[in-house]
Amino acid sequence: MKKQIPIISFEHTSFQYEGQIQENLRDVNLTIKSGEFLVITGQSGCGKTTLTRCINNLIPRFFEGVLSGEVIVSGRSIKESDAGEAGKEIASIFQDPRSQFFTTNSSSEVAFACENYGIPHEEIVKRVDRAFQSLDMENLKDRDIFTLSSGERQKIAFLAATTLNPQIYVLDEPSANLDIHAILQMRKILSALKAAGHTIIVSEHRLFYLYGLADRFLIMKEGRICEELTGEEMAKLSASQMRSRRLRPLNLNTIQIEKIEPIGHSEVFLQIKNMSFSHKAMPELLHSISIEAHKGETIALVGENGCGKTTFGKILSGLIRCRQGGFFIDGKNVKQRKLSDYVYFVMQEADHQLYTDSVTEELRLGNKKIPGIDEKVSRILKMLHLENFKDCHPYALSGGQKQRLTIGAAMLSEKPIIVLDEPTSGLDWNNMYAVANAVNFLRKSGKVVFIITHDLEFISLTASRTLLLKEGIIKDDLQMTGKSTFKIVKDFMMKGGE
Amino acid sequence: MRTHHGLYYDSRIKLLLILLTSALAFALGGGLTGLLLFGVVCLFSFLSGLWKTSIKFLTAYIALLMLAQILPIHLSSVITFFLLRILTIALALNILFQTTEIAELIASLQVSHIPQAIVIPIAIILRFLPSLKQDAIYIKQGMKTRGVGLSFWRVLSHPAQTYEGFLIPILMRLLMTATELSASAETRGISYPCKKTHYILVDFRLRDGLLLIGMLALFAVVIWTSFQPISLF
Repeated sequence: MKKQIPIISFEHTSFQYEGQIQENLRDVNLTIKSGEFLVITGQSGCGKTTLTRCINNLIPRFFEGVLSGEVIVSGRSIKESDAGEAGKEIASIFQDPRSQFFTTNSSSEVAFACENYGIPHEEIVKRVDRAFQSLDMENLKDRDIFTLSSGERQKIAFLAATTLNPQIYVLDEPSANLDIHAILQMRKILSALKAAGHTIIVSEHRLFYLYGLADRFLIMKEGRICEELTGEEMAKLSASQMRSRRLRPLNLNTIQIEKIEPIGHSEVFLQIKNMSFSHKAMPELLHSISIEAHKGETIALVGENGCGKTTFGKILSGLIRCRQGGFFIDGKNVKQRKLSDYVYFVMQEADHQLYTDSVTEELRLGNKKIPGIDEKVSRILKMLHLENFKDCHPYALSGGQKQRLTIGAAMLSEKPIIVLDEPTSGLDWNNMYAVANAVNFLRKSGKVVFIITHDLEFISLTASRTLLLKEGIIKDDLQMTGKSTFKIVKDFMMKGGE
Repeated sequence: MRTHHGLYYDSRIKLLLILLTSALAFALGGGLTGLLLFGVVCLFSFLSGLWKTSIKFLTAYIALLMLAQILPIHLSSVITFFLLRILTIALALNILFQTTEIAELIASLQVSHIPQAIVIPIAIILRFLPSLKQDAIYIKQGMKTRGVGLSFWRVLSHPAQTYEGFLIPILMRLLMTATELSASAETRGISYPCKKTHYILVDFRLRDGLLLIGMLALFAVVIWTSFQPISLF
């Protein structure tokens, strides 16, 4: 009866980060049994990440603040332990950003924890070999971390975790930067860990890969656990019940495509001819791509991590030069160095694109010569629900707000073509929906919009057309007219284009 | 996976090369001594198999040296007193960055009983640079698309604005990366109090010893020339 033993318990736990005015966890009571697979979900800022930080003991020593109540993990209070001590028992896996890797070589990274806990050299070598073998990933051995795709990097994070054979795995939005195919591969690893009896806690927005895997779901709101459902109960919720809870779908089959009609500009506005690109001393990434696009279209660009979607977007925006290719906008041949006058690029990381000291200034930047700019700024602030933050420093905003702000700047720009690079990665349902509305506004105002994305729900809400990118070419070019085309896109994304 | 095909030698020698070069580049005179110092560093760069980089640096060094001969004194002194010396140090740093894996450096420093408080910062600097470079590229692209790109004229006409626009995002990213990286390292026991072990075994071999002696001898020659009344031009 191993499953009955509580391994983690929260008793009236509250926590407030140092320097914050509000509590991030409020009177949380929770018992997690050994071998249980628990998912914590809810809107951004609901406290789910804070909960995971209590479990892996980063709170209260690493992230300081006021902790009240009690949290017991594997029989020890987190007040008397720290993340290093707890790390022997608890593995933590974070969002993909490269910053979770300490070394630059995949094998060294897998060995890293063993080295820190003083495991003898011969034993480390054995464990590293075994880890790569057991998950059938020997092709990832001794590789430069920076040359791996996000999906491969996340696999390395799992391998690194398994070498200490910890009882508990804590994952904080592990899918945020992965494509659907890579997420489904991660699901297999999770499934194997569950079968081996590990206790797994996942904090997540995207839920589909946890379908049939999680024993229990907790929905959090404003620092409290507001609803608790078993895996079966969660699976029974209808699409509208999920939406009313502001949750991403648990089952990708429930996503219904909205009718997105192009705005009916018949003449070709943008024409790309034979665009090819390769990085220095690397095989060709994009091979002789030609497309035509019309005003009022939203074109989704899908394909696996590392297939060249972002590169395509950056070439089109004049941020990277390609070796060969012709660009025609509104019938005129446009040189590559002039492309940035016509095409606006919204970066994936909002932090790379915010340069001033207030939200209003941010929207005015580079647009001051536009007539009636002040009214336009206030209209966009309202549309993006940012009017209460107009004097805030952009870096004081939440992730979703920052993302909306960068899109606001794109909306003000007078450039006729807009490229958005994964605008919804890591966003909760509310923010995703707000971004979808903004993208639809852009399309309706007659721009050509490209969205680079792994988010099927976002595609269903915005795309009028989808390009499937694989091995450097466009495998398929689909008008999103109904269920059948949507299914092709979905299958392509789930299988990684195989 | 090693992408370069040069001589493999202990990373502590590379660190010592950096330390000696940065100390000597500014402590000793320029002219022939400076050129010889650069020559020593360049030799090690070639030995490490960094052909392209070494040739680039060498060309830049020679070009600057020639330029210094024809430019008026106030400009040429900027070159000889500052640029050439910085170039020499940069090349020495470059050897370490391009040919050393972090795990290997950590292991070799720990084996030499260097305290953890010095090892970890060195490792982190080495780890940070690639992400910092990546961030800088993205921010530059982001500014370009916003119409506030880092073009020559813009930097000249709005220096404060471009400076702020570039620096704030870089610092914010740096802070974020630092927090995430250290949180991840903490949960994997980086500060756990026990004797650290190593996956990669490093040992100081005969070849390393000979190389070290050779390097020290070359530095001795460089120092000796700085006390000789020889001038280059």
